Amino acid sequence: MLLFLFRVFLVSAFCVQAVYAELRIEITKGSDDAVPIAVVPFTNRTNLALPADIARIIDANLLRSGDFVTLPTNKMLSLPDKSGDVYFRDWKMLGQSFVLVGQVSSDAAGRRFHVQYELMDVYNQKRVVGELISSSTTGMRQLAHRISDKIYEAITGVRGAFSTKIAYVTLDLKGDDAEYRLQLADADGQRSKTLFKSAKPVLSPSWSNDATRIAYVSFESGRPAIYIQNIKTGKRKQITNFRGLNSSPMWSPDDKKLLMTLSKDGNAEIYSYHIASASLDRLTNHYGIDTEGSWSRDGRRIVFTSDRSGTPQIYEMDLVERRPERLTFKGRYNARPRFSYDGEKVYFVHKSTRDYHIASMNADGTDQYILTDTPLDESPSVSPNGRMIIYATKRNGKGVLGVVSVDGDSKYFLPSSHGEVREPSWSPFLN
Amino acid sequence: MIKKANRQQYSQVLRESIALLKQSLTKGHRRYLTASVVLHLVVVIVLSWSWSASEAVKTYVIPASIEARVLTAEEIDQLPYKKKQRQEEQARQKKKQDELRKKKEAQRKKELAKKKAEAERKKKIAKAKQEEAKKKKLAEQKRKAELEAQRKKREQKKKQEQAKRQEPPKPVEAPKPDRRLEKLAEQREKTLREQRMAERLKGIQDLKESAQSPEPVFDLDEKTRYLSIIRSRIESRWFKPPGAQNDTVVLRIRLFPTGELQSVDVIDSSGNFALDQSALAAVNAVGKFEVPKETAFFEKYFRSFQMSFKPEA
Repeated sequence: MLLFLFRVFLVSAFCVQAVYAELRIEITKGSDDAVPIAVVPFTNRTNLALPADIARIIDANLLRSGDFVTLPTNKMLSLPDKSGDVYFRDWKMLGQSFVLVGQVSSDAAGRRFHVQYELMDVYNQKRVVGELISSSTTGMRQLAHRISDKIYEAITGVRGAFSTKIAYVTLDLKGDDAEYRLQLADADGQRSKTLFKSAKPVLSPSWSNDATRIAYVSFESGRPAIYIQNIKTGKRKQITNFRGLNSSPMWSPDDKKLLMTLSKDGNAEIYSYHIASASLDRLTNHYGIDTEGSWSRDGRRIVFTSDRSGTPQIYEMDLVERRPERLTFKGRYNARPRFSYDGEKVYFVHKSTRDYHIASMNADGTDQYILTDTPLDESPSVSPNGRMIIYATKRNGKGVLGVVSVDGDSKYFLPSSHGEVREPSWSPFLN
Repeated sequence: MIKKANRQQYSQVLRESIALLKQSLTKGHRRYLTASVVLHLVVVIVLSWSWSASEAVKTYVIPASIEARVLTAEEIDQLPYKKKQRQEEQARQKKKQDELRKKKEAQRKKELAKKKAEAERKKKIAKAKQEEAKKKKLAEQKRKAELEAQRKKREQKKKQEQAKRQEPPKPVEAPKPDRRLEKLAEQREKTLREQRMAERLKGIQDLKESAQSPEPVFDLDEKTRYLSIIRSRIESRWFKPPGAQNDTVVLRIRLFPTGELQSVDVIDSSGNFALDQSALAAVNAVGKFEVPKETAFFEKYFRSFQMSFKPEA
């Protein structure tokens, strides 16, 4: 009793003294690992075979992003399909930060599917996001991408780009005949369809910012010309047919103008083409080659490639002052620049001693580093959430599309149904 | 008369001793007095704590006191039935002896138990000391390595000097300087231990009052150690959201003395929901933190503290 009293006395004495400024621990570094997430197979409550395995598509999407690592189904201790059945302790034991559960039901006629999903935060022991959404039987893949987007955003704070599209060009060689196709596909390479087919080269597809049109270069007339094609209607319209070079079309942020390279005045220069009035504004004026222009998101600046120094290098230019400033000095080849969506970064092709790689730098030219390690990388195009870059490369001697995260940590390749794949262009957000 | 004188003397002594006590309570001596009182308290606490943490307080049954009445020789002589009484007396004495024996036996048992408990306590203290020694070992090793390096340097110098003098090379007398260094290390450790003890005392007194003494070394070193452990545990469990650069979220973390998480709250949101949640999840994922055993130390820094999360590229 006495001892107890002593203790009480002393403890209270300590408490009185605990009036120091509270300690603060600063954390700036985190785990370099991807976030562990378990995507539990969705229960099929319909009596039909489902056209797509939603959970598997989501799993693959999250895994490919490089920001997540998913748990194989055979390692799961249980397969809950609603939040009430999720035992946090089990998932904690498996080291999972998040668990996605869900189920699919259908209407009486079996024409519409209802998908209910819930994302659970294991360590904070709560539901993060949940929805009940419906789709037609054909829209299941799209629905899976949409759920992936929601989950990606809920956990990372960055909008997901899984339900966006990519455009690219394929080349099939059949003997002496060549077949070029302008293809459109989901961001994961699935559900591809042909927008335009030609025996002559097709180059440089570029998405309008409202995602309704694609501008590209086609040699169908025997000479390069720039076309705009409406994605929904498939209608095409020839925009330019100047003498010499017509290349590298790129939409302005407001979709009113196209940046393009023309050599009609004798030497390749960059022009701004006003679509409605069909008027041209020459932006560069140098005896070197200026090409591959890209708008900043505010429309005030462009970056482009020029060999005015003797080798192809990247320049930046304010559209009011029009005084080009060189950004790259390392290496003898730096080309095909693209602004990031926030305008803070520029991605480009850099030739190291031997190979061509995709590289990144700040918009002022500082902090240059190489992102890819494949040998012949070209045509970088940034995803609308700014997290990934799609590019063309060679794999086993064949042209394929690669995707790399902007920090270079995660890389994957897209499957191709056609021979050579090249010239990818990532769409803006579609809705 | 003598009695009176004695009484006077006694009262004078009493007065003097009271005066002395009063004097000792004045400025100069009060500190030592309080220090000694506090030291006693601490000793009592430390002892009782290690005891109570391990086992329930044991109660020992003390045999009831003997109700034997001792008769004087005169009394016995005065009694009419001496013989009978003597017999009774004998019986009583026998009983008394028996009881005494029993009492002794009980006391012996009690002492045995006490010794056992004492031994256990000592064992525990030794264990605690061992653990402390382990903690110190690292620092110790480093210091030893330093000393070793210094020793080698000195030896080398010595050798060089010897070579200069062109004297025949003597075998290196390793054990002698070694012992000296050991002694030195021992002494250092001793002073360190003393310092720690003093600092622990200071934790009980008011730290602010002793303005001339610097921030306790023990606290700082140990604090950094615990902080770095906590930091690395958090870092391994924090998944930085990619879209959260240059945002900061501040959490308040409250711990139980066992190190287990009592509560974690956002006290300054980053405005980025994903970042806030990721920070909370990291703290929850760790769940239990390593904290100092010393109550004062724990209360001072780790009962409640803040943690800011700022993702850097």
